[in-house]
Amino acid sequence: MAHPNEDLVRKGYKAFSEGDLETIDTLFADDIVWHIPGKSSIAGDYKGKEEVFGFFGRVTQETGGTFKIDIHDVIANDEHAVVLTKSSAQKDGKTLEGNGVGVYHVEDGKVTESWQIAEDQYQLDEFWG
Amino acid sequence: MAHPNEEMLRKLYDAFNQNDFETVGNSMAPDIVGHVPGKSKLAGDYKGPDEVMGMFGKLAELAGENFSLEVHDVLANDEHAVVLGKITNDRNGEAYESNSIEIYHLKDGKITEFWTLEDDQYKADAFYS
Repeated sequence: MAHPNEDLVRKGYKAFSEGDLETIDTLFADDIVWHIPGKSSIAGDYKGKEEVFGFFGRVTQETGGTFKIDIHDVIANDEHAVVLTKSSAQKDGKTLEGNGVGVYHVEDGKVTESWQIAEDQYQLDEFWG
Repeated sequence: MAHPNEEMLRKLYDAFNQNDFETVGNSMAPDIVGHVPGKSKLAGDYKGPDEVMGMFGKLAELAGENFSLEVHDVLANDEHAVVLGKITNDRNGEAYESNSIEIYHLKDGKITEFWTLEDDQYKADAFYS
């Protein structure tokens, strides 16, 4: 039987793929912080649900809805969940395809902080510009 | 009770921090592949235990004596283990701090493939130059 935090993040990824922000809202703490490393136009720290949802919307919009994350595996314990992923997207005639990892701090059944790290940071930054 | 792969990784990191390279070597499958992303002198794919140990030697040279990796958490299941860490270093008066994520594929208690990521690829590349 999977750890509850594994179920939590799998639910979150499924909701994201379906554009279901209502479900994601129940999984995030109000003071959530979302870290996107790198130097691209999307890099930064997004604080609070509004900023994070704004970021999700931007990603969806700028890729014409082509941004997709496939889960390779999820490992979770009481404090953390880690999701190994493969992402793909298209934007301005460019294609992005790469491995990544989402690291989540979880407290009382809600995500409080997250880091989204690409295996190839340079490729990601070039894609987003 | 921790997953056997979690225990194996915790022991491995202790061994690494104590320069017990025999234990480190014994953790590797004969066809191990290690991936160090980025553009630094350390970046590349390392195939087989000899090349991987060579990479650790290069790390010791580039990183110097003050390199320290403090394990923040270890998560593991039957196929994968993830180690969240904090790297600190001090070289020629230049202080360095980063969050690290090492991802391992495991088979029969041995590491078959691994990736070493840091949350700031640019900073890491500049430091290991």
